[in-house]
Amino acid sequence: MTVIDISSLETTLSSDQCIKCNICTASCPVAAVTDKFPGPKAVGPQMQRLRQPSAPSYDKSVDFCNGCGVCSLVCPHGVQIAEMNAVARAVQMDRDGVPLRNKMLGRPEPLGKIGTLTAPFSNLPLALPPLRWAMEKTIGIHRKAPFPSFTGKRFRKWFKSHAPENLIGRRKVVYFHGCSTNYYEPRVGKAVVKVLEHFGCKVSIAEQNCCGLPMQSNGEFDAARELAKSNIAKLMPYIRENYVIVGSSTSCTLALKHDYQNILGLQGRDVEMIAKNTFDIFEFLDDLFTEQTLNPQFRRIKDAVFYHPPCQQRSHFMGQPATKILRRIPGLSFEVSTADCCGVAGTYGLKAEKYQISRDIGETLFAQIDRHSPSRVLCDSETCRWWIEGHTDVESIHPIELIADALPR
Amino acid sequence: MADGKLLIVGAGLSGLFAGILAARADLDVTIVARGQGNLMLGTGTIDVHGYQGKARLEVPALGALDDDHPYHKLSDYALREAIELLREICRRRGNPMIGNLEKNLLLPTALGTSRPTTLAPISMVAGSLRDESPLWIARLNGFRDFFPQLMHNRLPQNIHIVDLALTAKEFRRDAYTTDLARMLDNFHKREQITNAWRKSILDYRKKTGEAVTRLGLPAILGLENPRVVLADVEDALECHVFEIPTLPPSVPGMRLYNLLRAEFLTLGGQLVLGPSVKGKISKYQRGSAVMKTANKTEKAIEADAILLASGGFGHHGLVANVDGSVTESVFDLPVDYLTDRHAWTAESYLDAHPYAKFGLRTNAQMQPINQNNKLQADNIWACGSILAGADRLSEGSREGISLSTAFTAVENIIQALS
Amino acid sequence: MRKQFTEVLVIGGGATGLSAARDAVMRGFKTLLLEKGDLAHGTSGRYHGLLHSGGRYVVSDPHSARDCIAENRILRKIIPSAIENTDGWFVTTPEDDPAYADTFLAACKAQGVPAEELNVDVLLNKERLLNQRISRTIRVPDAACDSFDATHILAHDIKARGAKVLLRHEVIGLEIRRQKVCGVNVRNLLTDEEFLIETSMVLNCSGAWAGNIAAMAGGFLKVTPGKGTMIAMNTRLVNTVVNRCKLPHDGDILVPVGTVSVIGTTDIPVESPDQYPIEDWEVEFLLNEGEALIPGFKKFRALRAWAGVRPLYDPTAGGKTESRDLTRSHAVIDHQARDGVGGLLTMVGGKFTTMRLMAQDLVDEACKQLRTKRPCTTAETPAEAPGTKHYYLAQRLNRWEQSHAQHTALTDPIICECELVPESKVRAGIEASQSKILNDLRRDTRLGMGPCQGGFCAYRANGIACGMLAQTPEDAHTTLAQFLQERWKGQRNLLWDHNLRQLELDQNIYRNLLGLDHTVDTADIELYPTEKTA
Repeated sequence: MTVIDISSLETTLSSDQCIKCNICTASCPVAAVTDKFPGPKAVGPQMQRLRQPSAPSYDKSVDFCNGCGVCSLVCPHGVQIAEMNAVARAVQMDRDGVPLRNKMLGRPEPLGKIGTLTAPFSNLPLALPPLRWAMEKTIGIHRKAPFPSFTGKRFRKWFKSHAPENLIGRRKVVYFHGCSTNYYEPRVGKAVVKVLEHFGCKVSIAEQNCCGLPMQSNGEFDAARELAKSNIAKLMPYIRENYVIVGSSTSCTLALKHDYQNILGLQGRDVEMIAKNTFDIFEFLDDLFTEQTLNPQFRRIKDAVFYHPPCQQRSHFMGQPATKILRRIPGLSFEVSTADCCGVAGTYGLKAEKYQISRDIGETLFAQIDRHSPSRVLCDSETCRWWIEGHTDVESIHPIELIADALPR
Repeated sequence: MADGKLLIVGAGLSGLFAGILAARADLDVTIVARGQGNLMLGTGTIDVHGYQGKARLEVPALGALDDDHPYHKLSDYALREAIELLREICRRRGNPMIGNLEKNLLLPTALGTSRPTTLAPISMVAGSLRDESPLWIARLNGFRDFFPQLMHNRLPQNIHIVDLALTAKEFRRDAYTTDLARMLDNFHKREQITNAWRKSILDYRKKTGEAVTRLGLPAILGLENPRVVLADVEDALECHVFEIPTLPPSVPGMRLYNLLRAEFLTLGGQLVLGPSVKGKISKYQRGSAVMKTANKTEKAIEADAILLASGGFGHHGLVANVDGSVTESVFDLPVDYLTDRHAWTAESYLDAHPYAKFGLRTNAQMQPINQNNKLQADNIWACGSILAGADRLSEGSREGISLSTAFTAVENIIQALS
Repeated sequence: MRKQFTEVLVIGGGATGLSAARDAVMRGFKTLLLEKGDLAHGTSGRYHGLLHSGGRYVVSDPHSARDCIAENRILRKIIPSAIENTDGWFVTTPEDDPAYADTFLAACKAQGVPAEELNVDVLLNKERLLNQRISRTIRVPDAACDSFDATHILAHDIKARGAKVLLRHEVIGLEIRRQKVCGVNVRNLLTDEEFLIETSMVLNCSGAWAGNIAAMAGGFLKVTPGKGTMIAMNTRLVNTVVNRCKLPHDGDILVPVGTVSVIGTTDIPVESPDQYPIEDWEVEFLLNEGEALIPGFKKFRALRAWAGVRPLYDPTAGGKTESRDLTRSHAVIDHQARDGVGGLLTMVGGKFTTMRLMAQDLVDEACKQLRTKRPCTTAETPAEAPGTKHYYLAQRLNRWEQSHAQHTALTDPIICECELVPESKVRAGIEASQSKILNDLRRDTRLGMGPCQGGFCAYRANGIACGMLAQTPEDAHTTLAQFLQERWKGQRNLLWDHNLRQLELDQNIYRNLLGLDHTVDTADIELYPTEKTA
């Protein structure tokens, strides 16, 4: 297997656009806190010119990229730096083998299945210091890395027994809930369903599996591709029936929208259709309100919260529709984070050798949270929420949960 | 006060500054930019007019510029007010800028030439070349982006080189200016570094018998609170300290970017980085725009007015095509350019290149017009480096043009929306 | 005037001259090489980088094809580290006649060039950018050769064997006594010092400039400079050499060399080897031809355009000829027989791949004239070189990554980030050459050859060189301006899209941040005479 085989050409060839200006380097949250990472320009477009499919190189420093995507966001020239790094890492892993730890972190779904079956007992090991110490020593998952708790009742199970408010909604939505909602935070899914139904959508949940992002960012492209293809096959029938896909995890939706093509290199009409018809929940609501010239009314919520749009949310290149909608809630005051990244970047911060880097990245955000002392931190990505809770002791929820709360009763 | 939605394309100096002005006037402003703008690459100073031909100007001499220069489209107060406003924001946000329109500052470059500018951050002014006293310049050993030996003896001032350690601790990769700035932002690291530097300065004095009175460093004196960093370094080294801009990324430019962004966001503006913007003009001469999202779909951006601050050739506001044509990237507006590509550039790399003056032609309201002076759309304005008629590098006028044209454009937008 | 003596004096520091000097010194002659510029300064340094398998000539010039395949095998052994074993393919695009592939295969067989037709998928799966409508694909043992590396290795080798190499020394006249060249008058272009080198035999290997030397001996020698323009694309669009399967024509090869891929070439007879501007139509033509191999070729970043002059020998001299029809094969001209002046042999024609063979023929003739019998051993003896394995692109990346992983401190800053040239290499290059010309350092290290074309590294290298060579700032700034001016030449024809953006950044660095335009008077940047060529 070679670089070319497993990459999107659009991504790797975007190095042509690089003029070496260093804007990405100046903005990279990882390079800002560690000298182990040479910076996005260095490992991205710069080294890309020296990577050769027939003679793979010792190419280790790219593994310190946390994939937050800030580089691709600030690059004025459209170089897909973060995407390029994801590919380079996969090539590296493909040659050297994927560590067991990465394999575990890349598979939230099977873990979730076992975990939820045995909850609350399955939560115990993750709370026991000696076991966590052993985990760090044996497989390299940092003993302090925060993990979520398994829930007893999966979201999918709840959904099946739930009585829809709106059977003949005008808009047909298939909800991509992702693993975290199903196994750890069904409350997020319940909020999504409640909000969508309130605004007149017919909500279905398709058969689905993990989006593949954890595997992709842990270097298992082949396996991630299998998951991607499986999701595409499961979702396509809905697309043909004029459903749109709506997700609440900005990481999962970004995988569907962008990564399947631009990182995993999948091609064809189906993957394009899936990409074009996938929406983040707030993006969807914002569009819906605009299209239908709705002026939704919300209940007054007297609260001061803090909103951190995660890296993966910003990589959607769609602005911050959540802030537009939160602004409609009377009484709510909220501050928006200007920190680039909370640090954890999916599973990066859980790894023993990277935990401290992630913590250091997060300091900027944690300090902002500290300064504003909000009642809750809103964030669209699950791993970020867990990480923020773990380091600030402030409860972190998905912003859609607040919206669901604010719906008129 | 006006009411309405303004879309600004571009997050460089003119885009952010226009965003602030519009948000202050209560417009609902969204800035959409493909990425960060030119500020990150520049000097961090505000150059209004530094050169006429090769001659350094003591005072900006806007009257000497060609008739079709953007400066000539402005009201007589636009530049002055824009400069004052920027100065006020910078001061309030902890990065005071020194200077005025009455007399250019003269500051050293990393090659030891003198650069005229109107406003410079306080961290640069101790290097003033109007002061005839000698300069000591720090050589940070192991730093690849600053070579003071190249400025040695270049100026009338005597120049001495002082060797300083790069950082207090080993750094295992090449340090960029921003790395050093971040270390200096950190209180503990700053203390370690300044202690080491202090020792070197004392050793230098012992060895040469010279007391260092002002010391030039590459521009690395902190990103977050440059005033505190400057004061601490000066205290520790017991001399005046000044920054000299060097290779990108530009720490002084990034400070400006950060503070303008913060000001804009505080005023309630929305900043969307990443997507490129495409627009079209209807037959009723109204422009509308969409942004290209990560899944290559187009999302409409609601806007009553659209301001192009999308930059020149360096930042995709203007694009030169392989066939020799030049396109304005958002609306495909008519661009002033020479069709013969051989005439675009000078024989000599370091000479003024005619292509620098290519760009959009506008009326006095900063609205794009074509060669026959016909207005292209009722709700489109333009400002900054996309405008035709100025050779910003040769004139030393980039920031002055950006600020004053942004000011004028927003003034007209507010009027149009009232 | 001081005097020196050498048995064999070689004029020209390109591939031919260096090979001739190597051959001579290995046969035990006291040898000296003169070059008016830098190593590979002329045609060798402006070459597309293809180490021929002979495939290109099997139909049109079978004799050359046989030479090429033999020399291809030899060069792989004697200068392995300058050669990347890329393989090469002849492909039939929709614009080419599919039947030619059969003619080609038969000719390869006849000339002993290994060629194998494989299922198109083998190539198309590997090279995903290639035109998917390519219908036939034939593999040959082409390779890529970096001419800067090759010439530097050869120079290192001949110096180690005791030969002397004088760079920036121009021949200003021949000392002729009794119808025999017995010395060469030389000027050191850096110091303007002039002196005489006495010699028994002058080998004129000055390529396209050979006529100038011949004229000094009173001979008339018509060497037609054939301009070949090439464009380096910013990345390796292919990892193997791709040739169009048709009779050799302009713009029909794409060669991956180092970090770039080179499309070449045009072929236009020109008047002077020193004046040959690149025309817009050539650029357009090459990009269009690129489209046949790689659809969308024009959208990729064209980094730099340059031209070299082939030294095509025209024995008939006079009548109008298209230059590709002139002979590619080389010839040794004996000026004794031709012009009645002894002690001077001129090598004309030839190609990079056959440099060693050309040298052998030349020195054989020299031995004959000097009435000595010494066998040639250049084919069996590898050059002394740092590397004994073939070059591969990721080498530099590997070295950098390993040192990054091993060290806890920065040991060797990267000066040229595009081409990963570390400070140690820059220092070694300056140390060895003592040259104030940054362009010499570029040929030695690849500094400034990447996408930013010196935007960042020229200032850095200038700072290092200024310290090492104790240059005054004034002097150093001129050095810097000259280097940028030299890089400028290759960019001016390609100023659209990416390159204009790059120019904006680079101009911002040198004219805004650094103010270089205010320290040197641009009208006064006198390029070294030999740097003036396009």
